[in-house]
Amino acid sequence: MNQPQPESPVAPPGAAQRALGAIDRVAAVVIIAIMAAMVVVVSLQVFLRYAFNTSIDWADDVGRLLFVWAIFLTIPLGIREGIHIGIELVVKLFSPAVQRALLRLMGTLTIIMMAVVCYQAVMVTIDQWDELLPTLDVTVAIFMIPVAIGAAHSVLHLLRLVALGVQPQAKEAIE
Amino acid sequence: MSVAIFIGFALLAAFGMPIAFALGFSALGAVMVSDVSLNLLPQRMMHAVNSFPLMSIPFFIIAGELMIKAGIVERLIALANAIVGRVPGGLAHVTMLSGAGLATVSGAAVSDASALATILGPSLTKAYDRGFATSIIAAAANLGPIIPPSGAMIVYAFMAGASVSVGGMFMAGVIPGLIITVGFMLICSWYAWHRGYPLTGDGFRLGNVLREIGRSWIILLMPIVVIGGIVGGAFTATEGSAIAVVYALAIGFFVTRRLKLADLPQVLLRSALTTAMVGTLIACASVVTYMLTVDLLPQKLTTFIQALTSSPMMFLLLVTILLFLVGMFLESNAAYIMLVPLLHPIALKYGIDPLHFGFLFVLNLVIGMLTPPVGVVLFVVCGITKVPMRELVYALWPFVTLMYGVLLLCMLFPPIVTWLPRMLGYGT
Repeated sequence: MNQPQPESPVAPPGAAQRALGAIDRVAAVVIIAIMAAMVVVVSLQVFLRYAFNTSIDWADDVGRLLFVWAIFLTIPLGIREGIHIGIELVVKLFSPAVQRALLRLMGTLTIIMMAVVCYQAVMVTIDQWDELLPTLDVTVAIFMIPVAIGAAHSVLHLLRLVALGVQPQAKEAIE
Repeated sequence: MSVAIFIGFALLAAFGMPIAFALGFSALGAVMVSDVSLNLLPQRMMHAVNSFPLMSIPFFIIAGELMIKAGIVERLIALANAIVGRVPGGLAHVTMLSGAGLATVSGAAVSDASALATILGPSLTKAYDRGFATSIIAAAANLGPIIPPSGAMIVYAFMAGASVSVGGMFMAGVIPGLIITVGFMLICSWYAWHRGYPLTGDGFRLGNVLREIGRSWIILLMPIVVIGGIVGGAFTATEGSAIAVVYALAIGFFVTRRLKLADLPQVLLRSALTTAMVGTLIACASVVTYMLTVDLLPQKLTTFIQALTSSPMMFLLLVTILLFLVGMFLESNAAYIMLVPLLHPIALKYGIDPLHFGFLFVLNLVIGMLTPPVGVVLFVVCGITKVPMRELVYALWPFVTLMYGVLLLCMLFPPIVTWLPRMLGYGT
């Protein structure tokens, strides 16, 4: 999110922030593993096709599945890093206090949206649990699970953002 | 309902909500006041990014970053220096050729700007005045999304649907990309001659050129293998981009030997972050697009614009003006995701070639990356070189003017864009 600069130093991390930091680090490791797996699956598919004239039936499904997981798990880290682009021109016209209030208001509205997405994703996951993917003996709901996880993790970051009223430093997120 | 969605989105975005979330919240409001079930939200968001072609975005980002970390920019600079280092404005030409070379392995202006500003920025600011030096970097970096591969073209092709292929878009950018590169170099020559900049670099020696080609051929081969493979039908754009990653890894580990295993996690995570930024926009915009379709907005918009003008050229001019304004205030990925689903079908109704329209659209927004107040390339170059934005923007206008000139040329003479893709079997 686009933020005003902090007026005072951010308080030292409490237990909740440390817990969120730990979740972020786990998410980062999972995302890195997923991205690496995506490269391996897709390049292996090409290699097998040209070297051995064969292919993996599930490569396409698994590639897309990994991609969906990567995107939705990364959204909360993006919130923390402030990579989700916005327009700052109007906000910058206001005083720092108003900027902070706007940041909190927009953060709260985003929490509402993410909470609805999370709840609905859980409902869809439950609905789809018995359906299987055509190429793998796995539930199709596996595509919806990262949407719920990513939205829930995003809510945590947005709560932090609303509580602090400032954008945390990007480096905190993943180092 | 469409008007309410737009007003809601505009207000939220103006008051600082990130564009993706402003789209998502507007869509949530629209879904809640309609008969549509709320579970549409996660389902459409997930399906929007559940796409094999979209996977090429992170792969090309990873490949570009790995190649930069592997030290290819230094080799490209050495090659360019051996060829044009001693001509007037030599260092500027070296930057332009390096930018063009980097563009063939990277699909993004931002990473190219970062690499060129870091490596060539200090030498350029010593050789030339700061404004001219940084404007060269910004212009050279902006070749990234024009010369294939191009992340912008992948996003455009995805949003435009079946009528536009990634390979066709890539090929559409080749000739205009070369024209712009040559044009940039002519501008550099004129400035060097006009301002009497001293000669830099080594004199031209064939042996030196051949030695640098020997060091760089493996890098220059990458776009031939990857883009050639995609265009030749040997593999899809996504497969080609994954091969680009493997190729970049091989170069970094075994040829330049500058890549370390410890570099990989950061490269992968940064690529995931950039992809998630685009992916969130696509996911949230897909719900808005669905609600606008329910409200028949695309049909209404088509009827409205066709009532304004029956001329395809006038339509292109209107779109150019719109994108000029949008490019000044909106990040380009957001603009593709919000506007392509609305404007591309109208262009088809006017009988405009999809590749022609697609390329003009992309070029327009690529130029927007160089125009203030929201010019992402400007931020990167100024951030790294510590040169004030005002100096850069003032020096940049000849390059921006040239790009608009090429845009107009491509608009008036579509074969500049469509000839190569047609020759290779793309399009109608």
